[in-house]
Amino acid sequence: MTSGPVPIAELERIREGVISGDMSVVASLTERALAGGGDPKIIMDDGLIPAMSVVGEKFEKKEYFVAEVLISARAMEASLVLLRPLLEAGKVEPLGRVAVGTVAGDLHDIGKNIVGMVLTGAGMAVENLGVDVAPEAFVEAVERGADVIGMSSLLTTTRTNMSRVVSLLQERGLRDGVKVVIGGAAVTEKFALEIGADGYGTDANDAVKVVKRLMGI
Amino acid sequence: MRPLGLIAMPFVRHMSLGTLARLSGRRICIPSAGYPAIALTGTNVCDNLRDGKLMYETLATAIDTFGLEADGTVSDLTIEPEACGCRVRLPDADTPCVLDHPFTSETDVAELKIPDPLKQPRMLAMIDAVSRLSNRFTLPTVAGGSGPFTLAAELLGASDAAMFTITEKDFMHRLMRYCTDVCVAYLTALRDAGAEIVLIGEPTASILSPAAYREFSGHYTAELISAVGRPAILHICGDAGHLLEAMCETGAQGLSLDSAVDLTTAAGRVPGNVVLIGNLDTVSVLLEGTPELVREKTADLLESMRPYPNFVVSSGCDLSYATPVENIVAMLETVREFR
Repeated sequence: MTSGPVPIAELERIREGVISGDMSVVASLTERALAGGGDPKIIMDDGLIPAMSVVGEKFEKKEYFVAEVLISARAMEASLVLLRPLLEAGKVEPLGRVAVGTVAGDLHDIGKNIVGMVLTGAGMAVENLGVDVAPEAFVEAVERGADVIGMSSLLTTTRTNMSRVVSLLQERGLRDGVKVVIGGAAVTEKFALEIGADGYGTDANDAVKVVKRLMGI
Repeated sequence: MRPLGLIAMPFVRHMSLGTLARLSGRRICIPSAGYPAIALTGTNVCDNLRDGKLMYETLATAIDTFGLEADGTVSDLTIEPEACGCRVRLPDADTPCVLDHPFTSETDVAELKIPDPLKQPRMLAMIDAVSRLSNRFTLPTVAGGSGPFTLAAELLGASDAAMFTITEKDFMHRLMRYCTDVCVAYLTALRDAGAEIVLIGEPTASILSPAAYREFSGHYTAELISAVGRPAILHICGDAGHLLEAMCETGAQGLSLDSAVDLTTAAGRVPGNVVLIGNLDTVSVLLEGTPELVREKTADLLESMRPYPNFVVSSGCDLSYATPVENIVAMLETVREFR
């Protein structure tokens, strides 16, 4: 596919569509831009990412709440599914690769979804491993190339599974090649230190700061 | 409460939570200690949540050991979702959880039946526990249930429930109507079993904007409180700071708030007849801390809330199963000694 510029007005409409959470508008605008020879990387970098960063700011300022963020994330995803194969085919490297998941035994879904979405908005390629994620599945994500794994726990009895992931990474000789970041109501900075994680994020926007710092971005 | 004793009970029963907090002579402390109580007695969570007599015995032991100032049930927000068709997991040593979320925006809400609390085994176990507690203790019996939006979020999955407040408003209102009816039936049964105060756990509401909260949770919670006709405590987990005024509009006499909310700020925003309940950090202080840290943080909280008579000390949320007994004792002792 040839890839060229995308009209500024079109990018503006994609951004507005993501910010207002209009999934179908964002999907059709993306299709049209790609059909017109638009560069998927431009749509990503100048459309989706700045829009999600506006959403992240609105969330921080409490203009947006979880529902609004989820709807924006869904709109972004409607565009991303079209862009992803093209970006991969064009060997466009993301800023970093992050795998997020809620640890084994814990079914809390929303927090790590919000974190994943804000990280995507910050230019990271995010793999969402889901909830009740076995330690082995985090390790496999690292083997697939994740630079960072983000683990969430909202139950104090499940948070011990985070240290199992850290030990498993050590056993496999993978620990030095990956940064481990944790978050969720059941964990604290102190706990992160105890289990040998690299970072702890208090909320989604903080998680992005921590991930960027750890990756030297 | 305890010092007032049996003679005062008939009078106390008709008082609002605000009046009770004012008249108690010292601060009341009601940690949410159901899960540590299970650990204390060496029983397991699963058995307690299925057997009302066992839950009663567990809580009776905790009331005696800790000198608790209310007899509250073990909080379990999976009971109503299970009765409505969700699969649940009841672990031995952990909080129960809902495993699946079978409802979608295509669910025909008009066809759904309201579960009869007297025919649901786990509702019956809780009803039995409440009845035994209420007969045995002169303390106020507090029985808990799920709030309507939290129930809806378990039925749909929290992400969909949140998004549907924007994208599927009509459907959400139909579902909220159903969830409210389920909650009314269950809490009314707990009231009839002897609950004097109801604790409505609406943790998932913290993800809503104030406007969406009023429309999809607060409005229905107000109806629930009014239908049950007992003083109600409304608990919302996490940072509910943006919802305080809307929470007061439900008619709840007490707001139970998590450690993410600053109570002194909250005190300036709620009417004096609404009791603020909270909010020692359940993880960094009560689970991970030493008894010395618990004493220090409890004393700080008591000192900062000194100007406000409408305050009851508690943990910010349910205490974890693994919370050290000596930390709970340290919290209660610090409150009792505070003048």
